[in-house]
Amino acid sequence: MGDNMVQLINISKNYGDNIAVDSVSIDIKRGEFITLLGPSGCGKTTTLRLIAGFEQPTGGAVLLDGEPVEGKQPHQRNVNTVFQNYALFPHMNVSDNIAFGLRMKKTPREQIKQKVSEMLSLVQLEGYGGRMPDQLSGGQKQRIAIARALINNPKVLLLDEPLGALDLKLRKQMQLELKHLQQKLGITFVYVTHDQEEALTMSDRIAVMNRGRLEQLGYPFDIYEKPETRFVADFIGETNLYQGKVSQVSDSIALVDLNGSVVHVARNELVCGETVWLAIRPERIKISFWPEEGKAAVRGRFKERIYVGSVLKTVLKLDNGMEMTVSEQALQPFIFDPDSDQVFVNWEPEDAVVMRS
Amino acid sequence: MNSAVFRWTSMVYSFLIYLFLYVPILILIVFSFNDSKLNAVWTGFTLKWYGKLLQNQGVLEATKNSLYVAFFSTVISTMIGTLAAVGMYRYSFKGKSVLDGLLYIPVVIPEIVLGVALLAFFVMIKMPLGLLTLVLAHITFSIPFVVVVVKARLEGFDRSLEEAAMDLGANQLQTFLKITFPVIFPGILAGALMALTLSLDDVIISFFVAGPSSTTLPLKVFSMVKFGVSPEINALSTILLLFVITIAVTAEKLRIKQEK
Repeated sequence: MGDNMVQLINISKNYGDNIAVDSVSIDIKRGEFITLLGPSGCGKTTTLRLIAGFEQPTGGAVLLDGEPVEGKQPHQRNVNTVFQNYALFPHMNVSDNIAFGLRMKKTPREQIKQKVSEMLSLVQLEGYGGRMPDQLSGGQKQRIAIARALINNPKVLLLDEPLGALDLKLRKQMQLELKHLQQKLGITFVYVTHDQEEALTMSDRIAVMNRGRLEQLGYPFDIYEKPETRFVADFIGETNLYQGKVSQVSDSIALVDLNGSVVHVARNELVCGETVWLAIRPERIKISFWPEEGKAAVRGRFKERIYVGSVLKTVLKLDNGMEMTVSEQALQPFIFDPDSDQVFVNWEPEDAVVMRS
Repeated sequence: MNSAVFRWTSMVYSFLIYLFLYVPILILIVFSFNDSKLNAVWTGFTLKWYGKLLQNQGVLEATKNSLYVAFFSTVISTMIGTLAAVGMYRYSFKGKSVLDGLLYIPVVIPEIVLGVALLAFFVMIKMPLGLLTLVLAHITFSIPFVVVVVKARLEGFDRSLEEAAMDLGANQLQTFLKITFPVIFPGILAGALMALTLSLDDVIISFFVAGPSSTTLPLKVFSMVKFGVSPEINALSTILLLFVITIAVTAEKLRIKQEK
């Protein structure tokens, strides 16, 4: 038994000319909570369906617990799925829905009964066994769908945007519940979502996908702080993204020309003359009257100030024509005159993430 | 226009429409209880025509034939129609839209054309006309209706239910028997009831493909009318009407229930 529960080796899926998944390789560890994150149509759901066996890859291989599962039907894989729209069987009550997996395995009646009540208490819905699915709220349906998928003790639980239909407050609550459930059971979770905040909250690791390709695989911290591509920087959280040209490289730093304003960044093996992108998080930028020592700084004027409760967002028009958003704690005293003051935006050179693609 | 006047005229209008629709049928039912042999004057209430009907060997024989034909044609056309609908729903293949369209054409083919065609076909393959040819003919015209009704039910069917079942360990057959079939069952039943009424009603096609010893109920009524409309025929028609309305109402109720 290796460390990896699921291995995707160069898998691809084409529908005619349409490439849904393009050479994706991911190793998912035993007991890990991994999230496939991306906009709609990025191939995350198709990837999930390839693991479940609803689709067969047109290229590459899927390994479950070290075994290739090529050609195996969904019912031959020890993997269960929680569907986006719950997919509870409408003609069966809650108990029968949960028991379905065990019935298919011809488990003895008494054992089924006991397991079903265990599952109901696991998802905190004791006493709901006799209800029909259409008598449940969205959150309850979701819990039943999870209980139904877990009763077969799957090696991997696949979740396809399971919280998408719930309202924000319930979704936040369910995110934590799911995370705790996963930690308690120690089952490998593969979770699909387009909500970056949800991904950051719940995941051990995140795989960001775009147009069928894997953009970056990493810990939430790295995905947020050290995006490797423009797409990741832009998709996760808010960021200021600029195109520039490396103008000078020295031992420890490099200079990047952003439309006429030269800033210094960490050296990062950059080559003079190459085109790069800089991403700077709004919360890493400070506004001051003068450029600060040792920091990258550009001059600009105030354009707009937006109060969003916990933070105050300031949009500035820089002298090089670019716009920059800065966010600060709303309680800080504001010493500038927004109408007339010329100010500088400053950030630590290492806070600017440099990307080549 | 004054709104009270408008309301009054629209009520009268609706009343006349329903009168137009139901007066002939009402008269038929009323005169089935008329003491006189003539369908013209009311002379008193009686149930004797219903009694006479029960002693009419020809009518009883025709009823038996009708039920026999209706039963077999309903069962077989429902099975074929359901499988066709499920197949069309689930699989995509080359020429599917053409084949799909061909399923519905029998609905618009004039019955008399279908009747003549079936007769010519049975004669050509030298099949003696009788109950068997009746059953085959009724299956032919019932299938498209079953397909339409079952397909309507499948349109609202969530594919992920089948995927969930397979995901939980059910093979294809188990998935169909435990999930797909029970969920679309109201649709199948509604399709079957439709096939049943069509079979019980049919005159034109049956007229061509029935043999001398295999008269169905509507054909019997048709031949009796040749000697004038007797109260006995009224009674028979009333029973037939009641039967078919019961089936139609049941089918409609199922349709409404499945839409919920």
